[in-house]
Amino acid sequence: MFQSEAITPVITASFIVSTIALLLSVIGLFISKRRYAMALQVAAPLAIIAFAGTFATYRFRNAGLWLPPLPDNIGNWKAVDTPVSKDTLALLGFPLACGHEYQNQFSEVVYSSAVCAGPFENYHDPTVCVASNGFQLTAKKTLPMEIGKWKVRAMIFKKSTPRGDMRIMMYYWTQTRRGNTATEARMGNFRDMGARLQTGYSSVVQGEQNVIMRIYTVIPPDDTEGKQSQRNLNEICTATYKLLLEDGARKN
Amino acid sequence: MTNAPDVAVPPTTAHAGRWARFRDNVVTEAREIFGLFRRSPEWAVIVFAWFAAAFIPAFWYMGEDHWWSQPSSPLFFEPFVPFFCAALLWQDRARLSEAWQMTPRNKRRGSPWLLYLGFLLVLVSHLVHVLTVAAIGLIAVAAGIIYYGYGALVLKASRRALLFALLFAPPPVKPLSMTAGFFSNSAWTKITSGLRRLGQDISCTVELDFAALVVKGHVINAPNIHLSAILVSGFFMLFLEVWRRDRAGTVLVSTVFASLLGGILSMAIPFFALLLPPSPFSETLVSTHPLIIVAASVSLAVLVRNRLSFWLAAAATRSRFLGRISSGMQKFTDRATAGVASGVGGKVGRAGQGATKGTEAAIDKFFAAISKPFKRKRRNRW
Repeated sequence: MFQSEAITPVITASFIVSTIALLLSVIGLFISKRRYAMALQVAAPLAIIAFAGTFATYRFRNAGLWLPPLPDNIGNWKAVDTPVSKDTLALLGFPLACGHEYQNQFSEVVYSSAVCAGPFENYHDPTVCVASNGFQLTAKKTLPMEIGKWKVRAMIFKKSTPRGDMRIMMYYWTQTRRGNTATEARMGNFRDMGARLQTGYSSVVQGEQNVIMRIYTVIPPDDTEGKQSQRNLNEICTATYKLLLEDGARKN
Repeated sequence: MTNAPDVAVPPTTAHAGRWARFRDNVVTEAREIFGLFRRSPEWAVIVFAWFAAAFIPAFWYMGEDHWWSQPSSPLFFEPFVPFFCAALLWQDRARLSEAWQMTPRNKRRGSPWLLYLGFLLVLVSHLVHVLTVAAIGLIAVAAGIIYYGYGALVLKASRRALLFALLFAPPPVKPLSMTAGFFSNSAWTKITSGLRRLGQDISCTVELDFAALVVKGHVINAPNIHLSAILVSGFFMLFLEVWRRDRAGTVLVSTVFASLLGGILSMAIPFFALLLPPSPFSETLVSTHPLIIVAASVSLAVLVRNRLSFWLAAAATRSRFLGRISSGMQKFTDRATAGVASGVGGKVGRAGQGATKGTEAAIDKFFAAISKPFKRKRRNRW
């Protein structure tokens, strides 16, 4: 019923503290009802809330335990395994993660990374993180893909280098094990409160498991409109999305 | 029988007397607190359950984001807030008891809506993972317990501690990080430019958490503690002033003064340390722990606050100019207060009276506007 991997020492400690609080508020009833009436009305709900917090923390940890595989070969694309760097993982709170680098016969490269989305510290938004590496967000659009209700957030980042402007096209989406997708950011405490509530509900109440997908490519200088880059991204993203659906359905 | 020889009593110094008084006070207070929990053990259960509910939200800022666990964080003071609030409530116990006695018997139990609102907010915070929501919820729960258990008068009497508790709710972290970055950046820029003017060979690169200082080819990583020193000094001074029940103006001036001292010390200590030849000692000074700076700035601020009037009086007796200013200010204050008190003053008195009346009228209007929706309309029973 419970995934032991998701039970951290903090969850255990919180469970013990909540249990003691609940026991104290309930045991008191048998000593003197009049004296403990207040304790039961106040302390018991507080202890139950502490339990709910413990359970929510467990569920968030559990939400980050689904790491689907990324497709190895897609058409003419050959994949090379590229693990996510330790620094990046540290920044994200050490979630499960994997990465692939796809290359075709024209030496075009597409990078793909899947990061398990447990607690909200795992949700770093590209508009903030990529921008903090010297890139500037120049375009952002939510694109409906051709499969079901699946949508991605497409972004273009630009960075000035001595060799000229460097442009990156990135597709971003989050996908649950049941195949629901979303494109909203969840990093901001107040700005993204609605999206966070949605994720909290699906992770804690519905027990969903999520993964964050970032698939991007460097737009070559001769691809001024970015059409070829977009075609490449579409191809890799579609194959990835389908594999995620299959994997989610298989393990459910 | 022979008289017993006189036992030589060691001379007690003022310091020893103060320490003994302090120790006695602590023992008495501890006994009283223990006595309270023995008389009303349900309070021990309620306090424990409150901390149990705060356990996971506290972990978000201690274990995940480290806003509460790193002394260089500007929000390092927040975990102290619940304990300081409890101390303020304990200090107010006589007033609370008085308010309880004054409460009519039929109004000794309030409505539980504030408590339920607090519960709801804490529950929602577990879904959105936002500590500000959890902290406001926990404060609402604390206020709700008082209101539900003891009524509105006791809640009103405990407003000092509850207002102080608002410091438990962290502000949005993005503007806070930006402000911390701005303070550290400008502080290190000023320190290094000042040192360069004095002929030091120094450069610095300010990162997110620290500044990499290159002094004569020697690299020192110094933590960015400037905003932390300012805010944490201000917080502790604010608590001390609230504890002393000082007037709002004095509280504000003392808090700002301690914060300024914290900011100045956080710049001055590395500045003078970097003037020394590079050594482990100078490196230690550059990376001084922020809590040492906070302790120094708060102690200095308390010293100045306690001795300022004495120093001014001493200076006024020595300097004719300062003496005139001091006596002039005293006269102005006396006339203004006399005018307000008696209603017959001269020009200055009337001015003081007018200002006070204006302020009072504004405050009255403000509270009347707030309380208007809650006032019950008189019904004509006929």
